[in-house]
Amino acid sequence: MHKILIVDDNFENRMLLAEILREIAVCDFAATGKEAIEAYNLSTQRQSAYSLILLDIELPEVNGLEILHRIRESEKAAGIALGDGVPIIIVTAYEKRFVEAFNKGCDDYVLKPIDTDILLTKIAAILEKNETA
Amino acid sequence: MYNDDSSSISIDVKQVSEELRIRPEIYLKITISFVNSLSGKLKILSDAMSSNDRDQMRMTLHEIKGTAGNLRLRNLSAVESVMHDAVKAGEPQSRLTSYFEALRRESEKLQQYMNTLTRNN
Repeated sequence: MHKILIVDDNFENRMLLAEILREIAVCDFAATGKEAIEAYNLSTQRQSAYSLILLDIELPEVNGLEILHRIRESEKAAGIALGDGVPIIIVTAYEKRFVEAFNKGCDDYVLKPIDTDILLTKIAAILEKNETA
Repeated sequence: MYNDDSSSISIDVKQVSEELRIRPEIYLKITISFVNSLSGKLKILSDAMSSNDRDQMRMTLHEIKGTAGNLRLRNLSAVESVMHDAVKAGEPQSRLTSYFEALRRESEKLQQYMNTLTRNN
């Protein structure tokens, strides 16, 4: 089983994503940007890195793009090359912010409302790529 | 423009669950949880309207939009979308009030529908 961090401030969206992923992953949850960064830091300290992070953009405290930026900066400081860090898929209704998200180092995006087939296909592609790398 | 024709709500739990590839009983649990949370969200929206806080209105509507869309609650999504567009376009408060009332009525209908659905299951 993979380990996936779901970052979304809405309880029902977190539950829905976890249910969609139930056959491929064990999920952790973060409802705020602060919780997301804490979960990420904890996973790296314990050397049990996430296989993937699903990241909403619109979040209280610290928004998703800032989280993305901080994670990539943290990886850079640890000597992890761009593309070798934790895969991050942006999950959002804000189509206009994808360019910014890609510039900050996201691996892919999924639009809300969630299309399960698209989501699972994108996740499978990323996990497969990482397993063969 | 939202047409409040009191159309009946119908959710095909089996079909939506298959589309989302989740278990029907979990779909119901998640949807009930969301519907129960709507009154709180509408209170936040109402307060934001009273203080003409458009950022808060946008944030609350965005949250309703995201989850309603994910759960394929199409009637609610449609009503939300009208108000969301109006807020973004800077429409006057009087218009927003009527859209808010439509949203509140749709939420109540959805709540009643879910109550009936869960009683019958």
